[in-house]
Amino acid sequence: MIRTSTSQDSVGFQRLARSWYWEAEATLESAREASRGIRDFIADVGLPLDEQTAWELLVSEAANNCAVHGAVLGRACKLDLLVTVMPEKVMLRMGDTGPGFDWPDTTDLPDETSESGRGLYLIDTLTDARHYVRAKGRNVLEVERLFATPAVLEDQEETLRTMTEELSSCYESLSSIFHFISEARSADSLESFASRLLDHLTLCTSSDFGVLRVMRDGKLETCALSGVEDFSPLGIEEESARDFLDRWFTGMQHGFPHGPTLTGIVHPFHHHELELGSIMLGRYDESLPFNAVEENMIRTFAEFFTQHLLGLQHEQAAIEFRVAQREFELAAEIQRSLLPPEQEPERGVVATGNCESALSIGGDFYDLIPIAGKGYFFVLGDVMGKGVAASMMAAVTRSAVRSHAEVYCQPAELLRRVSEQLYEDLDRLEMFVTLVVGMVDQETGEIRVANAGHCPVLVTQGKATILLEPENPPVGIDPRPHYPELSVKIRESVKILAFSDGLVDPRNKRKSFQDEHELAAWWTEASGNAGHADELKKLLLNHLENDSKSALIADDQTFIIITCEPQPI
Amino acid sequence: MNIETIEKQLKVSGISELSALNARELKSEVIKKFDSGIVDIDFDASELSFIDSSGLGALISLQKATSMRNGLLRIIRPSEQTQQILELTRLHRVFEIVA
Repeated sequence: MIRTSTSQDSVGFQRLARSWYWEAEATLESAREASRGIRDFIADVGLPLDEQTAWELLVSEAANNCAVHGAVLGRACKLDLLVTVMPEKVMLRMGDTGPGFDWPDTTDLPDETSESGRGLYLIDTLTDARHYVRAKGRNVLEVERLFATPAVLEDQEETLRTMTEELSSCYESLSSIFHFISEARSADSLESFASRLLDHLTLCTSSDFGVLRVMRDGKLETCALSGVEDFSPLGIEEESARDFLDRWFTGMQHGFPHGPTLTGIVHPFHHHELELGSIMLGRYDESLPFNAVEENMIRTFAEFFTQHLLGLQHEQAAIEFRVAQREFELAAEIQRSLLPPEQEPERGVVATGNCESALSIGGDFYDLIPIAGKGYFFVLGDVMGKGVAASMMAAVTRSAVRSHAEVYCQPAELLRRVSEQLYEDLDRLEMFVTLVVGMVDQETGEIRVANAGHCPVLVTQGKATILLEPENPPVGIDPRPHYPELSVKIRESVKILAFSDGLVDPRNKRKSFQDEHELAAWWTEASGNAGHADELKKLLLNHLENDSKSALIADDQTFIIITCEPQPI
Repeated sequence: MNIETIEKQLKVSGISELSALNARELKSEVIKKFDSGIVDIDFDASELSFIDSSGLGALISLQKATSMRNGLLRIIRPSEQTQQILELTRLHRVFEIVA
């Protein structure tokens, strides 16, 4: 099938170069037909005999190669040629569906007695530039040959006209791009922008129709149409988007709903290895294939659209990130609001605490609830993990504890109930919570603590500190747990420290404690130097370098400090 | 394609194109008539308007056949285009060319 496009006026656009298109199954006969065809075409445009001979030989060598080596497993190799005569050169793009080969770095002549091996040498010698792309399903050879002297297409006037038109085309592309930069800013959607761009491109290239599709979830979806009703992507559109190679077509196309005959081009657009979509433009007159200048215009528009598409994708990603960040901030705000405010002492019991998350939200929490006439009930928990999931489970655990107010004074019973209540959810989520609950009870003159796998509670009286160690696993491990109640009599001034393991995490970038024993030693000494809960809190925060927020901590750091003096029972 | 025997010489003429399409045919037709008495081949290229690398390969093959009998392959009156391709591939040094 042969088509020749010559200079002629058409609606809104003038063809700027001469082109010749040919396609057939690759055989030695068709290869010869192609080489004769290009010789006649080169002669028709007025190029000298040297050029005719050179191109006849070039095409013969390239096409013979496909005919001889192109067939695979009995499947014939298809061959197509697009030749374009420019003012300073002739360009050939030859596509074939054969297995292809690796173009050698050098193409030396073989030994003088060798009967083969001169084909690539001739192609190399007769051309000024070569580019060969081997790909699955389609190989493309592009060669060009510069004229020794400025081409005389028919006469100097014709040459000047062609050059002027080419410049006009470049100007038109450039002014269109400027126009669409402005359009892109005001477009209310990708589809409306794509539609305006495609209409413009269709007009500029004198196409009868255009289809612009973008890749979504691995499938081509129609984004804009011009001069045609929507239809499912054609096989050549999918192939082109997949292998990033242009496709030219002539004649009827399976799946195309309009026109018995047509000619056109499919140009893919992509970003690195990411498939983004394709633009297809076509004409119903198959004798008017697109020439090189028009193809360049299509590529320019496609590149511009690609940049716009990438810009939108980045913008969308930035919006999603900002939304996620805002939600994270809200979650952190909610978590902070669940911490108890500073409260008045209750029956001489003073309680305070602090919670700092390694991320903006975390799995540590504490609660301090004054019990009228008795003292304070306290809770400190640490949900495994960090971030949103841990913070949600921390809020759930806090609520579960608060739902058992009737047993605040019986920490072991409360811990058992909470543990049974949360077991099913924690087990399903494969999470657990270390939890310590306690009651500083001036009514009975004792401190009662129950500990589910959490760090020990330090109770200091005088210069002696005892560690109320956990004896049972964390909440969420055992469906029917039993927690012993650990009890200490209040005999003199008492300082209590409950803390999370973030205080003794050696991975912290700030100063912290190496282990529980180092912390216990520090606490004993600090308790001797400071009498009030707030003073002890300040000392502890200073020790933990809490004011240097820029240094990261590896885990959430939470603690409760309670002080009280013995009172008459 | 005309192949004529004159004493110990084969004269091949009437070929306008020598390409991958007919190179094999030329070789087999000439070799068929290349009996024991033949030594030299004269290839009349005056009508040859196109030759490609396969055509050149066929001529080299015939040249090898003649040299095995201490004979010659002569290319007679090649056109300017044919002469250019022979020079481009440096085969003008291999064949005897008669202007």
